[in-house]
Amino acid sequence: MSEGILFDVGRGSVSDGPGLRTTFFLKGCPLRCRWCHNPESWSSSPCLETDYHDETERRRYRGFSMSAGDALTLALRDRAFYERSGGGITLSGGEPTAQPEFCAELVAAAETAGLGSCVETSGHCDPAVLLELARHRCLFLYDLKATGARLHEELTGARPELILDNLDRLCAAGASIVLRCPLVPRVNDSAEHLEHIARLARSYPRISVELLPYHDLGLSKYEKAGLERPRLDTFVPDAAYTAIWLERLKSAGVAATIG
Amino acid sequence: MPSADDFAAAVAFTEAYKTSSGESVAKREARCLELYLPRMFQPMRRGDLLAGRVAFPIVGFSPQPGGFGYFCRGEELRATACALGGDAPRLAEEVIAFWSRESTEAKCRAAYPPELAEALPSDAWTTESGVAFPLYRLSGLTPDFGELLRLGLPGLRAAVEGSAALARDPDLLGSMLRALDLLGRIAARYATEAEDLGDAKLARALRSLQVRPPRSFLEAVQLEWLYALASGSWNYGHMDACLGPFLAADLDSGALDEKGALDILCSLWRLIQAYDQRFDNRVYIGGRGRADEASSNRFALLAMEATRIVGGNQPQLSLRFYAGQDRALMDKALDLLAEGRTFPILYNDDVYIPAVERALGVSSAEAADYAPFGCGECVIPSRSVSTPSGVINLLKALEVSLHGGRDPATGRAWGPAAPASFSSFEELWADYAGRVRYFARSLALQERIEYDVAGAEGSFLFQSMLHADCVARGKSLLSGGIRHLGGTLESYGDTNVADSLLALKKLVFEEGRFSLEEVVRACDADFAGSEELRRDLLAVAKYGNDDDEADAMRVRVHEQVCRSASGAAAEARLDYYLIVVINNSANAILGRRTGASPDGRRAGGVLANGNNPAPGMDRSGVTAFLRSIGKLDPALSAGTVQNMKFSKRLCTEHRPKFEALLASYFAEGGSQAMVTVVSRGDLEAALRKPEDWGQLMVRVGGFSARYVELPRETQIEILNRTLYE
Repeated sequence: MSEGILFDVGRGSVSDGPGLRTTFFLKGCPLRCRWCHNPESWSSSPCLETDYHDETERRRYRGFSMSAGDALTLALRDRAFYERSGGGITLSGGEPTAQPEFCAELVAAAETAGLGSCVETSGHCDPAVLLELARHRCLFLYDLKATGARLHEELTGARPELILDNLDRLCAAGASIVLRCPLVPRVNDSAEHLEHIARLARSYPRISVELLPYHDLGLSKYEKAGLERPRLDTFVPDAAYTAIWLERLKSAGVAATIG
Repeated sequence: MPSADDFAAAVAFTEAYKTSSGESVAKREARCLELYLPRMFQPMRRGDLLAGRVAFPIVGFSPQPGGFGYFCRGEELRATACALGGDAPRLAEEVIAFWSRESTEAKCRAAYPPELAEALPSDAWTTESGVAFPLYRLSGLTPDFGELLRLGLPGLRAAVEGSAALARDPDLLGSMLRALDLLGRIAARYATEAEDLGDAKLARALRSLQVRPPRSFLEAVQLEWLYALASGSWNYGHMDACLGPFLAADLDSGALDEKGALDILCSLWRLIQAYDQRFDNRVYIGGRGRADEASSNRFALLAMEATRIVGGNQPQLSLRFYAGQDRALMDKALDLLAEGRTFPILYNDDVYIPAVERALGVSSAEAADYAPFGCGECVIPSRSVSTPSGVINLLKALEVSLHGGRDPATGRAWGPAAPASFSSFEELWADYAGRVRYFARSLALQERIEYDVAGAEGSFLFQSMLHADCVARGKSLLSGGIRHLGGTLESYGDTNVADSLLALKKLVFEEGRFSLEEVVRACDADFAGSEELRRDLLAVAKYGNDDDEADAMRVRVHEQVCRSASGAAAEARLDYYLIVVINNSANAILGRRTGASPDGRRAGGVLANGNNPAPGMDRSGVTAFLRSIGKLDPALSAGTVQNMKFSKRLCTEHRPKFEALLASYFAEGGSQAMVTVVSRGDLEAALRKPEDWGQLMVRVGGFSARYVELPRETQIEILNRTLYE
């Protein structure tokens, strides 16, 4: 059994795919998105962070290892909740595909046990990893972060070609995909980007679109992890603002939801 | 401020009591009630669609609402007398001195044998430090309102007169009839008032009730309400089963439209709020065993709508449900909860009924009629008594065990002496468990004394007429009349004890990282200079995370305290004596005088609430939390409170997931849920600007409250309770 390096497990999550889910947050990410709200996930090994529990400063290691078998055993405790809600397990991060053996093993074991899996991914990885997960009928929560190679690189630290090619491959393999689009006002919510989202959604029948409006709830984590807060010229959009995004997509023929 | 009339009434009541000394208890009570009730019932107010408001006289007789049995609120009498001047203060002191010997509470305390007086030295549980305290009251009495509405006052009179058994006790029989006549006169008084207020319909209803059973929804509600007040009931049992058929008949005949029915119910809800007791005032809807389920369900839906309209923290509307019940009831319940109403409280019949059957030792038919009162103590309405007559602070018991058998706050011994140290975990456990057994037994014996004294002092006439099997046996409630004489004991600190014991077991007895003395010293110093040690204590697994070891310890603590109580029932000649793990702010009150504990809790900090994890210690997600709380066997106790705090977003945007979450919890054996839906931002904003958040409701434990009106420590506790998104 391969071991994964995780930084958290969330049980009964409602935001990481259909139904109630157990979400495994894996450490390590090749990207550095400017709006990231899980900076503690960047490093692929346990790292020190400062916890301000009960007014006393406390340094502790964030991260632990867990075998795929133990992860499944933990997930199976909530089987009753999955069955009633249409839920299952979700691999998140970090970038879960950065730990391909653990992911493949857990997803295969979950399938055998009758649990559905979701994978939250940036798609910035070896295509073989994604195709292996697709073979086990994963639902992909697949990020589309920016349109335009230069902007994408500026905002995430990586060029978009591999990501878009991988999306093509998954679609060709018949995978189910939710295109998850973090939208940061004034940063990546251009008309061009919304048009790009709509175009992708129209071209693949098994794609749905979820918009993730920017929030600033992860900012305090930067201090904890001893990192500098990212500087972004943006704001937290209200419902009226996100309604404009939805309306634009609707007029382009795509029914998106807010995730 | 009470008036000269009130003062004179207190003196007159006292005189009536004194001059009844040669009479039977029943006759004395009838005579005293004839003075007490006409003063207790207050005039209607404009806008009331029903009659029945109360203000409790300073001296009187009741099971609980005004006071316990014969009572005198001395401070109030003294203040009234001071304001009146003249001879009043001297007279007041005489009256106070008299009742300090003659009140039912004083007689209970005086009846303790010496060893019990030593075990339970104090009644001041809110201000003194200690392990166990008695409570004096007769609570949760719920007369058979269904029978009342079938018979009406004349029919009830005929049933009493026709009882061959009662005929052998003419004093009791005659006193019951006097009580019914008195209630008839009160109805007549209210009829005149209603007329004066221009409410001819209500006036006719009140007159009709004196001569025949209720024929309409209005008459039925009115009769139930007046009887509840006269009898000193603070809980109303299965209101939908009693009133549903009247409602359906009026709606179907066109005598009443939906709006008219809702207005009546809203008026009742407001009167219940005015009859203020946030720890009680339970109204049940839903569940198995209702004869006319369709009509009952119509009432249930209307009741939830009344709660939505009237708002506030009373009545404590409680929904029983079972697989196969009309879905509309649960749908409406979840709508209300998602709106942040904190009602209805949810009870799962499929788990609860078999649990009640086992715990109370009653038939399955009787168990199906269960209706927890107050903060959640199970009772079979009109067939059993489950008064909680004591509180036990388990964390204080552990603290005492760790300090040689003495309370470090006062130096006083509580229970058997304890060894200076323990060489194994099981030795420590044995001392703690023995201490819990000692106090559970003491409080069981105390409960029996309380019932015996109350029975010797009062017949509780109104209650006896509508509690099985008093009329059939010809006996009053506590003198052999009630079918199941049970009792309950409120247990606090259960979770903190379990978490503390696990921390000691792991760090002291298994890993040897600290000596027991080191941990005790650190606790005594409230962890000053031992922050590292405290962090290690906090890092040990805690109950509420679906952690096998932590939850197993919680189960062990639960089973031990439950068995300590139930094992004491026989000696105390009680049909059942059971733990309740509820909450009525006692977690904060008892916590104040309990030192820092090995679970990492600081000195004076709140104890965990009901069956819940310690605040903020459940960190593994909502399903883990729900699975943990589902591990405690509900068949061992008379009720445990499970509080859950969910975000508005979960209950609205993710409504199907919220429904699946609760449904899975219940399907997996969850017995009960008290739900607060709130956002963290709202709670924080309410702390900063209370004036803007007057309507924000939260579930504290066994009761609901406006958040801004709670004491600061309870506000913080609720804020720190994990909010499940």
